Amino acid sequence: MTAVSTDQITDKEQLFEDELLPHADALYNFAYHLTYNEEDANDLVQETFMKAFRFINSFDSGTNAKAWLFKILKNGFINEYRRKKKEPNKVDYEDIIAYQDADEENGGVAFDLREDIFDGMMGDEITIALNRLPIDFKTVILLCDIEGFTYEEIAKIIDIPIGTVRSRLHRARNMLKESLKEYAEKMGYNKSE
Amino acid sequence: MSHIRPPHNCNELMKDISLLLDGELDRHSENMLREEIEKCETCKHYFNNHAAYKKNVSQKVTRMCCGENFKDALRSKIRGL
Repeated sequence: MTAVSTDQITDKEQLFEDELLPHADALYNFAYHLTYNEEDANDLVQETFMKAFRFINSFDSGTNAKAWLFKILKNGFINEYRRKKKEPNKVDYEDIIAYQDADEENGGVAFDLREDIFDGMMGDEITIALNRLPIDFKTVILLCDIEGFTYEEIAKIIDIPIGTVRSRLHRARNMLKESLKEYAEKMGYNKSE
Repeated sequence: MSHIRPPHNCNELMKDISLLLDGELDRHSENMLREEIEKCETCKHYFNNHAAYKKNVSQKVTRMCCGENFKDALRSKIRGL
């Protein structure tokens, strides 16, 4: 009885080591950008791995471990961290709807940002602009543009329809581009305008 | 994206350009879209700028790592569970 139990624990630990732990850096990066605080990011990632290990029997080996972990982390962030911090920067969904309506009316023209504007920018400037976005907009950019998740994976991680992923991503990118353009103009990077 | 080729509409194609750069289009749709982009300076300009956005955001945003000590601490914790 004891030997069987020990073997089960070893298998779980091996699965944890092989399939879950390799995503620790990506999870930490996501947690850091969500909380913008190293200590909170540490706590969030640790809680995520503890929960994942506790429920590791419900994880199918070889399936998308990274998306599973990101979903656990996102839920942990919403359920605990956000509640403690009184839900900072929560998205006004009427704003999204109003934006979508306006976007349809003007034919869906997207906010543009010339390539050369990026040339003068350091990573810190883009990081700060990203971290200033409301959390739900920042989340889709982190999941798509930083972590490379598909729309379908993002929809599952944050529990929204794929169409909403697409529109929220469009809105989020335009907000980020606007912010970067304002910054570039202030710093004189946007010389031809 | 439909496989039937509609008349060129820059605003509609700009939406699809995001899908293309996010890897959300099938091969056939991607090829059709790339042909349309090549024909139109406005679409080509938008494609190049959006590609630059994708590249710069993915490469320049600061990436944080938790480090090996953190991973070792996690290993110890799960052994204690």
